[in-house]
Amino acid sequence: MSLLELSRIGKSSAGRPVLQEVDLVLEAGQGHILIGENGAGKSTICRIIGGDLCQDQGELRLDGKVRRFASPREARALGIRVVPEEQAIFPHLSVAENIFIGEEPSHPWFPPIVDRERMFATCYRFFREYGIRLDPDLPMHLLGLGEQRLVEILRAAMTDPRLIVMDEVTASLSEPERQMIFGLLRALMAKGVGVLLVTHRLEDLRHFGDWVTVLKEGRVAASGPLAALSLPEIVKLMARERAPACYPRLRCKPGRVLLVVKNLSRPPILEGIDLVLRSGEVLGLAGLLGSGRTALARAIAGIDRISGGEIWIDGRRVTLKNPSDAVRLGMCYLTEDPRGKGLFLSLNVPANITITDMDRVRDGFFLNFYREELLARGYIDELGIGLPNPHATTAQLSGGNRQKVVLAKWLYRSARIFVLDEPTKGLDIETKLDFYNIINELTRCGAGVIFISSDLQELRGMSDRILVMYGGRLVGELAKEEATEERLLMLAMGGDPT
Amino acid sequence: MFTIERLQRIRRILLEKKRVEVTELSQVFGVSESTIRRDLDKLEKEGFLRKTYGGAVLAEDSVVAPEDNDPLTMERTKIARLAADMVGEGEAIFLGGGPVCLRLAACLAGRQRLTVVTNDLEIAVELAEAPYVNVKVTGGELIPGTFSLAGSGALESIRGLCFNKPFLAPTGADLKFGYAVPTLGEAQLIRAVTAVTQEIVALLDRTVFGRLALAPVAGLAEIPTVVTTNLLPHDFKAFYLAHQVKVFTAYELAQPGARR
Repeated sequence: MSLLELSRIGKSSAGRPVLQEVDLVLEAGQGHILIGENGAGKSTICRIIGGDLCQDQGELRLDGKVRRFASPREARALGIRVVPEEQAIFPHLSVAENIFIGEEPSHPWFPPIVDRERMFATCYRFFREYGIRLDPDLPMHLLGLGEQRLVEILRAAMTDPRLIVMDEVTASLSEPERQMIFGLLRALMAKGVGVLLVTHRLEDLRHFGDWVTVLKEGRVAASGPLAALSLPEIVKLMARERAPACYPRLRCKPGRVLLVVKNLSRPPILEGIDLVLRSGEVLGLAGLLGSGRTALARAIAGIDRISGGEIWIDGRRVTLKNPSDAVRLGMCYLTEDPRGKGLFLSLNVPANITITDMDRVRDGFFLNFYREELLARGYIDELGIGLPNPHATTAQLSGGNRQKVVLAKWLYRSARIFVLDEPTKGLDIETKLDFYNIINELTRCGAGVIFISSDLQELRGMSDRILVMYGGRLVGELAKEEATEERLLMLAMGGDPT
Repeated sequence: MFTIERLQRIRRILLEKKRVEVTELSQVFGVSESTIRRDLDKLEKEGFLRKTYGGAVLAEDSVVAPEDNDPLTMERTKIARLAADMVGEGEAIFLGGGPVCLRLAACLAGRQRLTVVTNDLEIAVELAEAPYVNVKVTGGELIPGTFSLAGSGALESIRGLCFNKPFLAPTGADLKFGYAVPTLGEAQLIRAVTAVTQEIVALLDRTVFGRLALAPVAGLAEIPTVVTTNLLPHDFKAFYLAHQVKVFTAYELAQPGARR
């Protein structure tokens, strides 16, 4: 009898099928890897197993018994532990408290207060047994990101699990941390615990797991012993063949060189990056979470200091000490939904737009609100920024409109190098279309765009060239025509670039 | 930004606010005050405004030249500019009739090694002085009240020709009935043109959407590329997205100095 069995699971979200007829079997003591592209439905499976979502169709069996979880608590009671993709920690509590949160051992007598001694003793014993070098008494916020993730995994591992589900937990870890976690999981598997590991990295498949299930567009593309499938075969199964047809990219003739990056380094996140951006060009940047693509974008935009290498703008070498240096040189950086990042939520739209160059709206010491309104009006009309009322603050805008306001303020500042980090994430498809067309217009005006996206279709559709990052390095450059999904995936996942 | 664009925008501001100041405008456009003064001089000569100390007011009897101030005209120019960027060197294109196509022709006048086939006499006139554009006008008879040619002569003269891109500006687009033009003769010609090419481009300004015309030419999903502005109605946008139509929306992100 299998530990966990999913049969013909279906789930829809907002009328769109996310999962269709998914079958998955996990034995006790098995290391099962779930792999698939962004949006293939991996996280949805994790959430269904963990009781966070309930399937629309199909059955979930645990130890042969049909179960329907109404809440994560029910799943937990049956020994299912999920380590979610998003971090969930209490930064000001200690490591031990974070591990036992919600299930603290209590003293047997009244009142049932937390038995701290037992808590720490359990930690010490467990840490020694599995060779984990962590101080249980340390506050969480003093740990690095990798160690924090480790604590989250320990939270699952130390509370008598039967099944551990890990949703892309390894993405942001360093190699030693990853090996430590794999060692821990193997020890648990030897005791009969089942592990479902969701990953994006081919490297993980070389070190861990004995069974793999490939998910593509909400369906199981293949499932079998890891030894029976080669890595290129797996990538081939993941890739969608459909060519991106309706992305409105209007190619311009690339103009003069705007930005040159030579041998840029920021160990251990970035190493030896070389790139050239011309005006009129959209340079795509592909890479998985933790590949260093955001770190590269931030380094170029002057947000993070670099420790080695050179940045040249307009043929002159520059040193970016802070973001305002970069802004002065015509650079701008745009993140996914700029809630709190990039906007003053309590100010209205004109104020947010003109803030990048106050001199143009200042009369001596005072701001001229009439001129501010006049200047901003042009951008609001042109970009179609929808305002609920004329004096709306940016907090009242939708995500898409907020993103347009951020673009407007950089246009107002006459930026020429646009670094867009997942600018369309979470936007509806119609707003995305607006965004694509605005990117076109930027390049028609002679700007250069560095475009980062996890959506490979979008990246292929809108980029003229695509650079691929893996492990802090550039591992490939593909022209638009040769950038098939399979090739991109292979490079981004750390496979052989053939 | 070109002077002409700046003049248009000054006109718009003046129409809205009735009065402007030189310092104000120079900061808005990022140009010197003397440049603005020169602009105001020009507009004063046109009788559009009256200069005052440090600024100008709208002349009471100002006759607004409809061409320059019309937001529709600006919109059509935007569409035409974007469409012009789609035309590569050495291509052969077809331009249908209508004001947007006429503006597109104006944008293409400076091109080299370009062949334009058209059934619109205004377009032919517009391109008459373009030195390196090869213009071919179809035969046929004039459609009453327009400068467009249609009929068997027009059909005859495009027989055997092949185009890289035909640019069409239908007068009506309806979710149910598709694109349409006012006369059967024109529809016949457009259908003949679209039959011999894949990459058809429809140029759509705001007047087109939701309007019916007599003669249907193609379904909305049949023309693979459309160029319009952000005034594209919501339901049309949803339709195009659902049917994999490439939608280009033209923007004018006035970046002083950055525009070619």
